[in-house]
Amino acid sequence: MTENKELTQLGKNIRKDFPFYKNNPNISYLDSAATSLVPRDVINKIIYYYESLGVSVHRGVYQLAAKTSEIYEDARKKIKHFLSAGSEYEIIFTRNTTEAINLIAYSFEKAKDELNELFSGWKGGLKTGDIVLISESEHHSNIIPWQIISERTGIKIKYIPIVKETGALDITAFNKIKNDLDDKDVKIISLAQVSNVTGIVYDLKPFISYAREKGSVFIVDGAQSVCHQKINLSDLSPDFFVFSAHKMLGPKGIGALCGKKEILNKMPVFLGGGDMILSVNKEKSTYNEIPYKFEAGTPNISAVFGFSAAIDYLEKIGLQNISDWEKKLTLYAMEKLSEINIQFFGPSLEQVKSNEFKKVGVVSFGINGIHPHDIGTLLDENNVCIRVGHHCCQLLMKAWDVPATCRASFYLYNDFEDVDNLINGLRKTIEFFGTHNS
Amino acid sequence: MSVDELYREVILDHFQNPRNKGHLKTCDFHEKGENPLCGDSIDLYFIFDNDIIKDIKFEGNGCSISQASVSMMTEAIKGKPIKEIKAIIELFKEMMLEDKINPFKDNFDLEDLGALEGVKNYPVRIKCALLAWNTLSELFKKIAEKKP
Repeated sequence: MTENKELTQLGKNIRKDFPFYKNNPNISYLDSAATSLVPRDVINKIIYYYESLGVSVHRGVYQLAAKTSEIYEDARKKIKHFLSAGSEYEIIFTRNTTEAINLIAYSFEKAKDELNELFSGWKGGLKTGDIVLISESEHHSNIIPWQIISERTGIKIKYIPIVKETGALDITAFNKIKNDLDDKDVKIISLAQVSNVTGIVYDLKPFISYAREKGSVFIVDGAQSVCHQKINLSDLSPDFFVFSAHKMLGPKGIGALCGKKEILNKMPVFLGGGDMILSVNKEKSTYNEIPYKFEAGTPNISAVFGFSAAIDYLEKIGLQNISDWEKKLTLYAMEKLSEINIQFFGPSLEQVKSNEFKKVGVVSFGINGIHPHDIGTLLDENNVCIRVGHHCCQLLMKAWDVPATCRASFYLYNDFEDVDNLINGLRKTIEFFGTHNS
Repeated sequence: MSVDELYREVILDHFQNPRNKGHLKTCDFHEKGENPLCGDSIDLYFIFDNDIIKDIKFEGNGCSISQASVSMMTEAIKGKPIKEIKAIIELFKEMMLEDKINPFKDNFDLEDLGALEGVKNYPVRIKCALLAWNTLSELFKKIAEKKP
């Protein structure tokens, strides 16, 4: 049983790799869906860059510059390998998932006939009445950029509704939407692979099939999926896959856009400046090839180094191990939470247990009569950090008709003890408000 | 800093037994206030007698701090003229946002308001305590703009 042996190495046993725990030994950090903790290896790699290299990429003729560029470019290869992305894909470094989606949206706004050949539905660009299809459970970062370009182009945003009880995408409603959109040009379909509120792993296959049918661009928001499970882009084959390093043990402020080269090659540029040009003339300049075409200015080199180290660390531990460990914690948490008077937002314990729903280590819940902010404050008093609020998913909250939920999220460094601390904190919270209730 | 400082008895009492909660069907003014980030929301209904708030009721949803604060506010301002209320708003905001110690200590009428002082130690919750008061200020601004 090697698998079990490896499993026992996670949780408390790997906290020695995370300096956070040295400084915060008593904290139960259950907010990794917001941002993850960072292992020593990642911090060391950032320090290595600043202490041993510290120079820019792509420009210097000296050896230090060459070495920096080599490690920087090597990170791209590593990311592609990590995503099982074939040679048809290229990696563009961005600040985060949000910036990656904005890059695509702003470039598409400018794209006219360039993309006609690649997408039969493109037909010369975004026009009044054209459709961008997203879902009610999207993070604001996959809503607002489309709203911004919708104001300027007249495109309409259509939302795939959710099934209220589980938070899953409503396939029946989607089939109806397909009928309604029969005579419309669906230009873009952009969906998260994993919900940051319910933790549901969506099956994106029916949506990508529809995208291919309609000749639409298909974008996957991988911010919440890439950290929890092995991604296989060769299998799914989306046009774009976007994600951030900071949710997968990497540094803040660096993310990636993994896109198909043939599309990126034809897309209009996003930001202009250094590194993205080949030759500059007074009137008009020629742009560099991808990926540089989309990376204007000196990049966050140290963060790319850290990003690369985060991938090394994740691969060393193994994403399957992480996923198995999270599942144990999630089921344990849901079982314990079921024993107290809480309401789940998302699939039920039975639905997760029976594998009816595939779910990562994210559990949303509420307690009748106690506002999530009061719960969050009282849990903090018990050294338990969870997220309370709308989780940048106000449309989902509206669909549920709640202002906010509590969300506990688990990652490889969490342990059963953290769940116990959460439950104890919640019991105290209920007691605190309950006593005053009577 | 302890959680008992934040959730003082009097706050929990206002949260669980809110004063002046309800709807005024016919009112002179209705003002809505929201903290969209945390989902706290209140509706204030006013009946004025010249410059005096003759009656006030509120409806609301949100955390204990936001709802206790609005309940306390209605009690504190009912029956008082705008000028006097503006002075109370000032004092309250000074207590919450600046380093002023509780100015309501020896004021029998406004004593409850002082209980919200402990919220200061929880900076992310200050906006919960201020929601009702900012909403009231908004209304006064509107009233002032209407006057010739």
